[in-house]
Amino acid sequence: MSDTSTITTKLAALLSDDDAYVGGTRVIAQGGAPAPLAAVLTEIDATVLERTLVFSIDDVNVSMIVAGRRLRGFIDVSGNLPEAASVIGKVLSRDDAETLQAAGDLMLLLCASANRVTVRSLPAQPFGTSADAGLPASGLASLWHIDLDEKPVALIERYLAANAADLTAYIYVSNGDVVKTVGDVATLDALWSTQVVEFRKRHRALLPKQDSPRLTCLDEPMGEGSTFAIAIDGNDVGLFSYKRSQMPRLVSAWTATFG
Amino acid sequence: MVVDDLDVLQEKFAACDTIAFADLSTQMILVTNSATSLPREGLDNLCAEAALTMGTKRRQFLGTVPSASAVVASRGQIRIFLRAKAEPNDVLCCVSSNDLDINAFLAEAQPLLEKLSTGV
Repeated sequence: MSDTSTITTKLAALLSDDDAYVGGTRVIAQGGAPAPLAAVLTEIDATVLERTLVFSIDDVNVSMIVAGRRLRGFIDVSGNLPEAASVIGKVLSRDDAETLQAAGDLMLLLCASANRVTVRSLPAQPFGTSADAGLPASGLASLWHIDLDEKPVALIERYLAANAADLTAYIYVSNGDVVKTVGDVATLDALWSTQVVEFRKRHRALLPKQDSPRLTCLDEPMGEGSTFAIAIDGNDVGLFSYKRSQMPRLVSAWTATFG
Repeated sequence: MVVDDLDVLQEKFAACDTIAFADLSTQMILVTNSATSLPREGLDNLCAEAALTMGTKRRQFLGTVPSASAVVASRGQIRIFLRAKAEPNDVLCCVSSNDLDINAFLAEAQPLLEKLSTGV
């Protein structure tokens, strides 16, 4: 731990009630935001005391020994992946470039298209010797060409772009500013400027405990055949009209992204 | 009995925890399936959310006319609100986990709602 601001940041993270959990594991990346491998390295960077971190990258579990904000090595990777064989049980060191490269290749492979990454922090297991410090997360990021400071694309923006084929038009709004529009957005624009603020105000007043990210799909809110949906995640809002038959798919995509 | 009809629908869709028949003019849940886990406050909130999202005869918060239905997805949960065609104040509210087959549910729920609303 290098300075008090780092400690403050970590305490704030511990106190945060924004964390999402699935089956007792904490979700650190969902729907590609933040970038899965950056999220893994950030967790390593946040781990001071020696622990076993078990990352579930979609359906593969990767167990690592982490201490002093450094990754010491991998102790298990589920699924009998051939790419893991040369990594498991080996201490990571700058002196062993081959293992470092194999570890990078493995993590890049697992994280490339991962939808959800979760983490569990378990007691440490015996691994290597006390002289085997491993590599810091920042060093791994540099070696594996991962930008830990990259500003992640907002989940709403990512959701809209990923599902654009099922939408007839959409508006993405961030912090009150219309950032992106696609298609004929005249109706959406009118709804945004005349109704959304009041709707959100009413919603907060009526249902203060339901302020988590949510998608609301409305059928025929402007008469026969019309559709309208509003997606809300904090200060990010997406308004869109959609192909009626695709509503269940859009809801499914939402739950895959936001849990 | 209305509760029996709601129970039958809930049994067909195990992902559903609560299915409720409500009147938006009074914003009251009239009857629920017998196995609902929602307390009174939760049912009141459900009805309030139905009125807010779909709108009522008196006011729409989203859109220009009262919506025929609304599907709300939030963390780990889906809530579905359906309006009766004959009596727009009559609605069916459903609380489900997010693995519900929405199309299959809507196909069964709308005819049931019309039956409950018209009493036929």
